[in-house]
Amino acid sequence: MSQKTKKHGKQPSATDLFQSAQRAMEKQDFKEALKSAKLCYRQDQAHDHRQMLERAWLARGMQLAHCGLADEAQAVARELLELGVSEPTVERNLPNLLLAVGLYDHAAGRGKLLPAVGEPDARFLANAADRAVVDPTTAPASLSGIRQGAENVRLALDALHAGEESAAALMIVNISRQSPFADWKFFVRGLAAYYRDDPETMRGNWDRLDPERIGFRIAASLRRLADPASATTPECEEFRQAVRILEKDILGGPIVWYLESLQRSLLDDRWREAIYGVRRWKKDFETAVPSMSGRLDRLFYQHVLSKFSPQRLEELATAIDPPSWDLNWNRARAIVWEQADGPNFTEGENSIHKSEYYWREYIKDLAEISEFSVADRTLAEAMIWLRIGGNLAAETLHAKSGWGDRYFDDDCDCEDCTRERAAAAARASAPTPAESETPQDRARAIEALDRAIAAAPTYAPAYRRLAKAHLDWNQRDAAADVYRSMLHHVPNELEAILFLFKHSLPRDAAAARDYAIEARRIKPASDDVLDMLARGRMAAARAMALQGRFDEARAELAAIQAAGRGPEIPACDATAHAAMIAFKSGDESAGREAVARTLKESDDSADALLCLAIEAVRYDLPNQLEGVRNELFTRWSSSLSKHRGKAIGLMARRMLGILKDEVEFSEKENYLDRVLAYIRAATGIRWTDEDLRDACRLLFHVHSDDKFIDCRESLSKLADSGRKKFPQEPYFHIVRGDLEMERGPRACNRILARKCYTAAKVAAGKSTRPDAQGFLETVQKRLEILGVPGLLSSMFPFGGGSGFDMDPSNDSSQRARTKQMLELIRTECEALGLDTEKMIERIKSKFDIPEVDER
Amino acid sequence: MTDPYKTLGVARHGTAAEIRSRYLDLVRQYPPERDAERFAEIRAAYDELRDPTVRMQSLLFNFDSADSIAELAVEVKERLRTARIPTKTLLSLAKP
Repeated sequence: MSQKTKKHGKQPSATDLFQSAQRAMEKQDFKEALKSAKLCYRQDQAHDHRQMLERAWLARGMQLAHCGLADEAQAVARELLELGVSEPTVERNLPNLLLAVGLYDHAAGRGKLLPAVGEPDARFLANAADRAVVDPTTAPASLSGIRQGAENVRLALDALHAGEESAAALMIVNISRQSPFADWKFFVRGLAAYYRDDPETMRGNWDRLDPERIGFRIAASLRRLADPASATTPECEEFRQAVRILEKDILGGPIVWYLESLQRSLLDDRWREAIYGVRRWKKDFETAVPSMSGRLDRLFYQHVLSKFSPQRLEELATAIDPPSWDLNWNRARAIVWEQADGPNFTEGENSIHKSEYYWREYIKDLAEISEFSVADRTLAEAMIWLRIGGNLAAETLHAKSGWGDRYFDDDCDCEDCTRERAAAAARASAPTPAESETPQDRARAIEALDRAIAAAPTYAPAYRRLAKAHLDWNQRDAAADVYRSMLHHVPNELEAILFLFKHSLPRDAAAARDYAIEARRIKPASDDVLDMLARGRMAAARAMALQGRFDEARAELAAIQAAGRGPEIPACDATAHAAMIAFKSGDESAGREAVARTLKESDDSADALLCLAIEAVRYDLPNQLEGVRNELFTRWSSSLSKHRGKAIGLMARRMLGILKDEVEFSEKENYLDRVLAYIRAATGIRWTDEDLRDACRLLFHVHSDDKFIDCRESLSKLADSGRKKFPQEPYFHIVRGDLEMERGPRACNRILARKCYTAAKVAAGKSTRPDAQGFLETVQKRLEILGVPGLLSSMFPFGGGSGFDMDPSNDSSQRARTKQMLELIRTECEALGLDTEKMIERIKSKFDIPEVDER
Repeated sequence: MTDPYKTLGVARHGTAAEIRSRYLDLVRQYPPERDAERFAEIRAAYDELRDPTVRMQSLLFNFDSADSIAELAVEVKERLRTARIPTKTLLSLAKP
């Protein structure tokens, strides 16, 4: 009854009630429809009102039966039977309702139904068959064959459950095509195929199922379970419900649901919820899938390690058992603390020290890990000591070194530098490795690395790490001792041999030669090693000559002749040594002859003369041969009058080798100065990329030394020239970019630097040279530095965070600052009487300042 | 890069003997003349794991897991798929 009717106290008319019942039927609100239809029929027992009432009874009865409310549905069906059925559609569907509520036989027995409805149709029988299979007690006795057919189907299903496929087949063999159980025949056959993992047969049978039948509904869930990839629609609630039923009956609980909940919690980083879930469902996992319980624990264990949170780890430790390889959680704690941000450390302690403590505890635990063999334990112990030592050694180094903090000016008071200093101070207030280093850290690092070596003397990485630590602390002799010890236990370690060769070369030439011979034995085909051997033999020959052992010295040179030399050693070098040995042994004519041969063999006379002049010094020619020495020096000086790219390249390479090998001899600075002056004065040269690169390398090597400050400009020019002439060569772009970066945040043209590195990246990407990958990595690092917000970005009046491609006109504050800067320059220029506009143009062009409206 | 443990189907803390045994099983299953690509994968994984240093490095310091909860869920469903379903349970799947 509507509110309006109530308010005015009027009874609705039969027509209103009829319409109301009709509307309710359309909305499938059968309860309301029945109510209205009853009232309507009570007021006016017209024919159409009665038919409406019958339809409402039937619909409501079916609805209640569908919802499993059997008693209520039965009561409705009884009332309908009492009323009697006259409406044809109700007559047709009444048997289904009676079947559903278990009144079919009752009605048939009383003779109330059958005369009205006639013989049951096929749909009704199919329905009866399905109901009888699902619940045999509902099979009407009056329908012959339904009860027996349902029994056979159930027996077939039982047989399949027991794995007896042939018995199942026998049970359904007599079901004809016209039988209401024909659908079940296909279902049973499909189910047998499902169990034996025969998807084709399964599909062949289940594709024939009637979508209105129960078998189809069951098969739909099983098909999805069998082949989830083929499903075209997302998982529906019906399927999830089916999985839950199967899980409950087969596994004992909703395991998939648990897993999905845990996964969601971890993905959303709801850690507490995840831990709660693990605690709550752990038993269910262990019961349902014992093997998976362990895997789930392991997954959580790995997850917590990847989060580096000690707190989470401790929470997990209370929820699951420790894994068999970390019985006391010490490994997990050590890993977590290595990366954790320490909240409250005592003085002199940091997360690495915490981690060290747990690693040491884990070493004690190793004995209890049954999966490890004795050899495994020894190796594990060495590796853990290496880890401890490596961490402690790294802690002793300044984290600030490198590119990171070099780009702000300590003396500058500008806003940007002040801000950057503040940011650096904030970074420094955290326990940085440099600050947190205790005096014992080095000693502890060495002790740990020594213990790694002691645990597994043939474990090469421990030696390498210890040597590296010594090198990081500028203890080259100690590093050499480590490498010697390494070679004793791990012969044929080329890395150790190479280091010892280099280390020995300026100190003990014979030892260097022996290391080179050893390297040659290990790597006979390497040109680099051949070069190394030639250098070792020449150094040994010099040392022997200085001791007066001329024959042995000549033998070394003869050995070079026999073995050949690598591509990096100029042909004239060995002859220059032969000349010096001849002079030193008193055979001046042979010496002069060898000098002539040296000049003849060389690619460029200036380089050959430089070699001869330097070797004359290093061989310490006697006083009576001072004339020879002076003559060689004079001839070399004269050869520098004309600038040639080849001479520059060769001499630059020679001087760079001397600097890198830390070779010392008198007048070294003089030679270096002259070579640098020769390079700086070079103009209008026809360069090859190799010569220009060698020149740049030498200048780059010395340019940061205050003594050679003049080289910076020359290097910049040569690098620019290289970028222009050899754009495909990444080296020149990188050098130019590096020079720009080194100018600091105020002077650095960040746009140009980025442009250079980007060009280098492109060039290195196209290059097929073996060092291209190294260039790419270098460039990538530089570009990352340029992209770090707060480091270089936002430090310049015209520079933003996005590099050279940004548009400054979009940023009003940047525009304003650029304008201010240009105004300042204009004022200063006017005060100095300079050509203001010309100066502004030059500055704009030099620093790539984009056009801004200065008005 | 694929996880060698996953490729061979051995536990992360499986012993050297278990790894070798599993490798030989897989080689029998996927000989090079039948499935060269799969064999190459198996061989590469075995080469990685049979080096005791690489294996120990991974055991001690690696905490990436090739396993996942989603994979566990898939396996549970697979277990359900292969299970023989009691008639009563099977018929209850038809309930609305």
